[in-house]
Amino acid sequence: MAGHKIKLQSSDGDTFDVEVEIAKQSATIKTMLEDLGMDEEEDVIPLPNVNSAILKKVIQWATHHKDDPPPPEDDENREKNTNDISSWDQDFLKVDQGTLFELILAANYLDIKGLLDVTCKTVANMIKGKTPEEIRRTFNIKNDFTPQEEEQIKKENEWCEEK
Amino acid sequence: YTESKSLSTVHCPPIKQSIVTKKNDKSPSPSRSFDFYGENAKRQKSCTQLTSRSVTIRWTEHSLGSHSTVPSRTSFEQLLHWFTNSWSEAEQNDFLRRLIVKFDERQQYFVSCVITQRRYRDFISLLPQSVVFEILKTLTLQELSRSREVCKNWKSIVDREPDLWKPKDETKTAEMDKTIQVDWEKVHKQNLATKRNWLAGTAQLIKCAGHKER
Repeated sequence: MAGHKIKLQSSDGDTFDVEVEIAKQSATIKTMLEDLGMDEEEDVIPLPNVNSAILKKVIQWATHHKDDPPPPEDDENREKNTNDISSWDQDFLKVDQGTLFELILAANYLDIKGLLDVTCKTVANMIKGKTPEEIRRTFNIKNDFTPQEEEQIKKENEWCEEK
Repeated sequence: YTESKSLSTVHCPPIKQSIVTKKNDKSPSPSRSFDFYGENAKRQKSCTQLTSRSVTIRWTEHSLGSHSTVPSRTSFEQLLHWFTNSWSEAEQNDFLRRLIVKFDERQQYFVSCVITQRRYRDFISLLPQSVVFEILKTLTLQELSRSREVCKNWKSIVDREPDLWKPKDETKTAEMDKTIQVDWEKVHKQNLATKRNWLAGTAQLIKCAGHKER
């Protein structure tokens, strides 16, 4: 199996040759290959939801992580630590928010758990430890509460603010 | 007109030539294969079929119709093609630097709007619900409360997921009977209120009166 390649086609028509083992980190592609019995050599797998720039990034990530152990089964109660992002991943995810957004959508669509995990943690880290105003500035969000509404929510939230 | 016409005759035939060779070449051409680690990855971006095709169409149109705007359109495509496929990162940056200083105020405003759109994304409002849940569940209770204060949409999203307020401690939830519905937000509020009252010394002694002592 090793060394076999398949072709992935982006929404804008570019095709990429990718090793089967690397592509199979995507559960979506894995299912296509195994259940639908696609012929690896000839067929092109169309990915209409992923554009060429993002697909390139996804393949780059999957290539770097091809020897990773399979991700553990999702445990509802497992404590999620957002500080364990590897330095390679941190560097890989130094992109504008538009790209990060597209990457999350692609990881979700292709069902690549590791990539979805690390991208979600990156977004969480952009929220963590910030005041509401700092969060708004981070994501360029408008405060659409009236002063009265804001006062009301502050009151509701008081129980959680350490004094 | 003569200048633009000469431009088209200079630039267009080579483009068409390259498309023809690409079409005949069944095996993946080296420029379209993907090189992950080499520096060429950035430089040799795979040539999008769409763009090349539209260039051919425009070129054909030009050769038939001959309109003066078509050649500039073609050089525009050619320039884009060079920019994305042939230039090194340093060349791209140098080109951009020199282009940016030529902007007038309205163009500056236009570009900054385009960039802002790319730079910022309201992840929590725009991502699918299941993904948003993955993000929010890593937040502490304080961070969740603060997220409710960001805007109306964020508030409604946080409020629609009561499970977010579950204790993050594994052992505690394992002991709980999962069938029982618990309003975790309320439980946390009560616990914290009790704790705060003790710390502030505002707790009062409640005398529970039973039967009278004799």
